[in-house]
Amino acid sequence: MELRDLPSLAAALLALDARGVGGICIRGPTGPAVDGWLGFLRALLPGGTPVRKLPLGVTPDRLLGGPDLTATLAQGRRVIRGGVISETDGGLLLAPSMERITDEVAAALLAPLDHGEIHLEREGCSATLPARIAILGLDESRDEEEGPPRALLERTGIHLELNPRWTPPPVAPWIAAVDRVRRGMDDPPSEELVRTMAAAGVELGIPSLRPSHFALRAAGLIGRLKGTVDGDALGLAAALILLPRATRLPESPPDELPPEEVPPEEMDEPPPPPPPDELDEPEEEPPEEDSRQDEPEGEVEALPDQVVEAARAVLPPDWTPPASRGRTMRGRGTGRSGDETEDRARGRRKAVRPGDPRRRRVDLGATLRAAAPWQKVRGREPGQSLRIEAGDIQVQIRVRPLGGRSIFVVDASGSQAMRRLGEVKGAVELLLAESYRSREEVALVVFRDRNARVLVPPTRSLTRAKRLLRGLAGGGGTPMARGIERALELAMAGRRDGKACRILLLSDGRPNVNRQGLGGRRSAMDDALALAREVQRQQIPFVVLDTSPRGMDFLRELAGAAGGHAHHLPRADARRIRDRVTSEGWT
Amino acid sequence: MATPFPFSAIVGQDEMKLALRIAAVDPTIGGVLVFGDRGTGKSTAVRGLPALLPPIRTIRDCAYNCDPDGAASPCPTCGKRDPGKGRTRTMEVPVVDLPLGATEDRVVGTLDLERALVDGVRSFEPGLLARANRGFLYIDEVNLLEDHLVDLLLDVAASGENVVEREGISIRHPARFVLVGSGNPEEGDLRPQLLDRFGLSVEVVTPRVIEERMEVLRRRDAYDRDPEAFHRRWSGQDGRLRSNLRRARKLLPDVVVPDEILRMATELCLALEVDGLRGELTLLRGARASAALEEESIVEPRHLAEIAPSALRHRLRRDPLDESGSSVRVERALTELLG
Repeated sequence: MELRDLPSLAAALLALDARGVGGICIRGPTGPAVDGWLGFLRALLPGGTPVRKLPLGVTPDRLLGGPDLTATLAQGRRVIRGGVISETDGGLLLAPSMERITDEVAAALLAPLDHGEIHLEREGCSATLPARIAILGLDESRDEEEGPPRALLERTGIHLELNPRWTPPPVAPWIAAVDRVRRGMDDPPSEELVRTMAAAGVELGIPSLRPSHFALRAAGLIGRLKGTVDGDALGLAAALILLPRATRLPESPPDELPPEEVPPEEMDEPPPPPPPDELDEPEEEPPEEDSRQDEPEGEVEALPDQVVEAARAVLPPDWTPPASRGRTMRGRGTGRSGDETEDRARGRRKAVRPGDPRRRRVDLGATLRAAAPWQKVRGREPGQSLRIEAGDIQVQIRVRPLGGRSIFVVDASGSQAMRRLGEVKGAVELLLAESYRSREEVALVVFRDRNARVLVPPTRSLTRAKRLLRGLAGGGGTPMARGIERALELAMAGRRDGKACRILLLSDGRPNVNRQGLGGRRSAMDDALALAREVQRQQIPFVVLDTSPRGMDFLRELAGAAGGHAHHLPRADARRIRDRVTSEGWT
Repeated sequence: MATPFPFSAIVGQDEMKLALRIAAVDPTIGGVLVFGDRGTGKSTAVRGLPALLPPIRTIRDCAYNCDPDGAASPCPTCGKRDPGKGRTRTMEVPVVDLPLGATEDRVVGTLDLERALVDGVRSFEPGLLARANRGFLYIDEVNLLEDHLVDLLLDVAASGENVVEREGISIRHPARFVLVGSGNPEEGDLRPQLLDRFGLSVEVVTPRVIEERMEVLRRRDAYDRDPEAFHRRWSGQDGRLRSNLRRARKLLPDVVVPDEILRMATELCLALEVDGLRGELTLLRGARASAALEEESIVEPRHLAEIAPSALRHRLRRDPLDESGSSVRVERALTELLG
């Protein structure tokens, strides 16, 4: 039994205390790995644990419970049914395509997740039903998409990236270990454990205390699976729950780690997760336990940095904190004025009113409500079908958000990087401060060294952008192609949501790292130009701000290839950049 | 029903706790807005409130929680009843959650579809506003709610009455509640016009001090392990808060506001360029409630100082380049005024 195989460990934790560790959100495409993991989890869960699927199009009354319209009509008396949430009490709510969960559904889940109960009210009689649920979310969104609602991700404990090639280990030793823990004593966490988890949250830049609380519970359970709550147990808990949310990492490169930090018995082991072909090795009861017997029970000496190191040891070698994910939830009904335009095909439902069913989509519930009071008058007897007239028919008004998305692609390579980044940061903040009126989203892609990353996913919140912008770093090579590629992805995703998108590139030089992350001036320039031509094919407005002292021919060529133009702004400060953007008619 | 996390066991967050207690003492304060980090116990605090308040007597079977002894505007059902008749019951002060996805029908009430279908009767099905009568209405992520819905809620909260004119139904019923909205600024701003209509506005941040974070985790863990035992352990503390609130409510009508305090409130609002009378009024009400909570019968400058940031910070003009400044500006003006 390899505790350091994070997917298996996550399943064991869910089987032991799904609510305590906050449920799970699995990132990755569906396929054999996810199916295998779900099967593995089911084998570990106590018998009779409800695992209910949350259908994407679930209606509020099915979700929360309420009157059953069909049964009510058929039986001629009111029939009330419980909903999916209360029926899952004590179990797991499986949400496939968690990124597509609607805001209404997500909002209805928040209170049960926090407080373990749900309130039902109908005509004076109201009931509070237990709803101790945990989420089992499968997030299939791609990097450039916004992902599940942030409020839901915040309340989901384990954030796991599942490798598509993962296969479940033999389940028997895990069942035995989980059973043993279930039977054992559940002592409160030690002072040291509480202290380390409290500190780790601060260290990793995670202000909310929910993740720390989930991680505290997870560390205790891992310790009991392992036989002792030590630094490694804390590291595993951190790897599952805290590191995926980290907005910064403590400054301690792994090579400075003294060798005695690594326990000897783990030195010879290959880095986890174990490759599938090694799985047929006979597995006995966990050997970890015996090798740890000499350590005093429950001792934690690990400081937050060491926990982070232990956590990094079980994550892939090239792991970096993922960009902050999650979308903002919206209310529903009529939107803010000037913010939306009607879109009959793809918009979200905004309002309902009488109308022509051939022109807009019929809203069944509202139509029934309109027809209902007249049924007696129209002579309907119980058991007969409803009498609906043309005037009863209610149609949906659907809207999509107006407004645009400005994507900044910023060159953070070379010596001028920090100064340029500082000014861009100022410009982004100025634009967002004014965006309350303009409804403009801003996103920021930074490229340097070998790669590009989305530092600020599309947002209209100044507060959020300010926080994300704090983690800027600069220097190294110039992988411009990758930067444009990221921006293009964001633009395409925005366009799918009906937003007008545009890209603004800030640089003072020529690329020297190509799309594959390899050095070499020629191929780096060719790749950047190729992506620029793709920008033109997609007809996405593109502007280059050239901040070099004398102006770069390459940047002019690049802007031309993208169908845009370059401006030479040798002394670009925050306000000049903002003015340039505004004068393009972008906000 | 599950045992809620005790109000008194919430670590720190003194400003939020005071604002909620003030709203409990004087519901006319006009609602409380709680803005700040996630995971700071906002909804936990609101859910802990009923345990601090005396239970209310209501007419049994009344969906609007009508007070059997109350004379003012009874609900559509109780209005037809003979006064003093009807069986009563005692219930906990209601705290109603308004989830973000709630439709307007569910909030204000709508035609009772089932009764219409089954009995052919056009009757009103009360919504969340009816259930919140005499209690609290809590909206998490209030900044994401439709502006018109927030407007509607603030209107009802101010007038104490819900007027419904829809789907052939015309009805009005009492809806007196304290609106508590919370939100995270990272998700977006609240329209300034709406901000100004909340009585108090508090800022919450997660504790950055390790010891404080440890205490939060410790208590949360203890509560998760055994909610009943945890509740028992804190029942003494909650009990003290409860008797304090009861005494404060009784004392409130007799709390005196000296002229000196009135002048200070005006000067403070002038110094901060707060438009309109709403700020001053909230400031005075808040200071009175704060004095009542300290079981003092005369408002002192410190009561004013205690409540000024919550009463005023959301009414200041915004300076785009000085985002975090409003709390600091109130503090500065206070120091200048009080020395």
